[in-house]
Amino acid sequence: MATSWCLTSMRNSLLKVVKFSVIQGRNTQIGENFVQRLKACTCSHLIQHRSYYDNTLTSENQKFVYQWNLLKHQFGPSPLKDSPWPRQDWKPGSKRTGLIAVKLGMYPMWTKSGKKFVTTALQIQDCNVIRYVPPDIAPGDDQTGKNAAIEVGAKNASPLYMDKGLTHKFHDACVPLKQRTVLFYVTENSAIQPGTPLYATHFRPGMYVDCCGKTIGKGFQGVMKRWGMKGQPASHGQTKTHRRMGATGGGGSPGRIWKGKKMPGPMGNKWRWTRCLKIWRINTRHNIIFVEGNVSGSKGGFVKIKDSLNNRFENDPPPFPTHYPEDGDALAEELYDEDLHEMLQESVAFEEEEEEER
Amino acid sequence: MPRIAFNFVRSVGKAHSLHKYNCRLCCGNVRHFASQDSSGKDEPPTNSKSPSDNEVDAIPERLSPDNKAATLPAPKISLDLLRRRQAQKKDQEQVEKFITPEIYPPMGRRSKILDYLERQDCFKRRMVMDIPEFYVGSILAVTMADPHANGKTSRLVGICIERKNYGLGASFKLRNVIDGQGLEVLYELYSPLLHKLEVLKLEKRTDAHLLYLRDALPEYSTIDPDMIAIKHPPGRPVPVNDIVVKMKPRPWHRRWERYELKGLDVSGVSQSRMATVQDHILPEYKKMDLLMMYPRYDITEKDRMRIEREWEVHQNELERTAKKGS
Repeated sequence: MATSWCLTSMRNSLLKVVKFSVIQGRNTQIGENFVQRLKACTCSHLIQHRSYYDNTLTSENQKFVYQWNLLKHQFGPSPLKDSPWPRQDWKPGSKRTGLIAVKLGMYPMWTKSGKKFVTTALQIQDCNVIRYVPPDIAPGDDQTGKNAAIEVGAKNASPLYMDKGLTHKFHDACVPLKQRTVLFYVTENSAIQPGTPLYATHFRPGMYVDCCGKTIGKGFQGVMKRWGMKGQPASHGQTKTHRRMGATGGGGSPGRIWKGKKMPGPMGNKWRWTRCLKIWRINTRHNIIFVEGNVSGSKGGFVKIKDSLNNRFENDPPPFPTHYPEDGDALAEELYDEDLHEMLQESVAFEEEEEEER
Repeated sequence: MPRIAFNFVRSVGKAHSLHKYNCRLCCGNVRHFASQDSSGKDEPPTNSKSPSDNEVDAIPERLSPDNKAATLPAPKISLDLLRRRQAQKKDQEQVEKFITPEIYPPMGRRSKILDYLERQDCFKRRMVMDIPEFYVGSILAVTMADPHANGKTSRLVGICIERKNYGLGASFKLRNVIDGQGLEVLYELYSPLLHKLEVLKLEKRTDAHLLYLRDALPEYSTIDPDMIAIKHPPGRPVPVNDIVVKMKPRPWHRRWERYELKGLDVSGVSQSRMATVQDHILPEYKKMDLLMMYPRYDITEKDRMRIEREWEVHQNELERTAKKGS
């Protein structure tokens, strides 16, 4: 941010000089060229152009301008106005898109046998498909060119704090500006039309998901905390060496330290996946998914959710490519897993075992 | 399964680690901090009982805008809320309505939607199982599902020494002395394993928790398991038991003299120890400091009214279903 400010100020002051000379009528052609070359060399593509509104407006007009900024991206030709894309069926080997949720907090629950466990509540706030990238263009983790990609955006953003250069993709999809976008790799048959809203009912209770959130930042940490190294003894002649790395590698051959050597450095504040978490409950009204166990990330932070690899979809295919509320009957407000004790059910009681006849 | 503690307690650092009990979790909708306020009132709070008083007015006054004692700027609330408040006041003049303490969310950055869902789940559970009004100091009998017991249920009678936590995680501890062995059991109010909660004796104590009973003489914790319930007449205020408990000789699990507890007898503590007590207690002026109180009382008036409204709706629903059943 500081660099871009310096660049803007530098560029602006230089431009003022050039403009002055242009106005004076001297060296107009050189002046124009200079401006072009200046723009190229001062990395103007790094300078952030924020959308902003004039503070001299009245409060009513300010409100109107703000609201207009929120809506203006949605008045274009929406991709949803085209004929809907053909929806294909799930088949073995299909990969669906994931969602981005906001971590709300944790919630206790009980199984039908009376065992207590804790769940994390993840809310899907304003999720939309931003764009679909076909396999030949999609970057792909494995670079095989087989996987397509779907970019999903979540949580509507204020236009005042968004880089103008990033707003074009939301404009194309005709959706409000989003705070976060994530690319999910999918198979071609799970293509979704850009602009489609995504809901919590994309998943169902009983499914397993992987959740990715940002871990707690620990700052610059030593090798014992960061990598779990054993360090050195506290006494018995140890000179100023108690929590150090120790040796760094071999001798003359290789004669250097291997790349990736575990050393002190920044720890935490990274996106990490927590795998195979069971979904116990979904609230369709508020779009909340209750997932068993803990998920990295703070309350109010973003969490990426996608299907886990251990789902047995052959027996029970998921909503494919996503759940469309207009199809089929409306779902109940609360969807529970069959092993979950619902609060309106009777108390858990253990049955007396029948004595075995000898 | 409930967690069982046999008189073993880890020592806690400072007295103020238990300050949370001074907020909302002890006597329902009553705020104890107002009891320390002595400027506007001639009568002293709870402890002394004059023979002329037939009713022990131990419940301290609410900190309302027209209380002379504390002049706060009038909060900006809508007319609707104001009218509701005035109507509530009229009801309160008769008897303080009980509002269960575990529906008030604790301080901190919390999701309101999640808190609302948790409260709704609590109310749903209460439609199935009756969770009566009780306080710290009341004597309860808890029947719980137990796979290893005869008849698959176990019943424990004891005195409630603690109430904790918000929403579905709300818990309480029961204490009793059985065959000379002190016993404490932690129960989760909303666990589906709880079958029945009977209040054998409804009363309050002068303290927010009774953890000091571990160091008190066992007679104060011994309750007859076959005790018959003492019915509390409806419409009457809940009696406050200002018994002062006698302690066992030191050492104690905690330095109870530093905790500002009214229900125990600290006369046996040496002078040198009592001299250090003032270092661990907030002075009177700091107790009334609004800036200190503010982070603890995160809940706004609007939210509090909304929560109490939810409770009202739930109570009406309960009454309706009870009438239908009968």
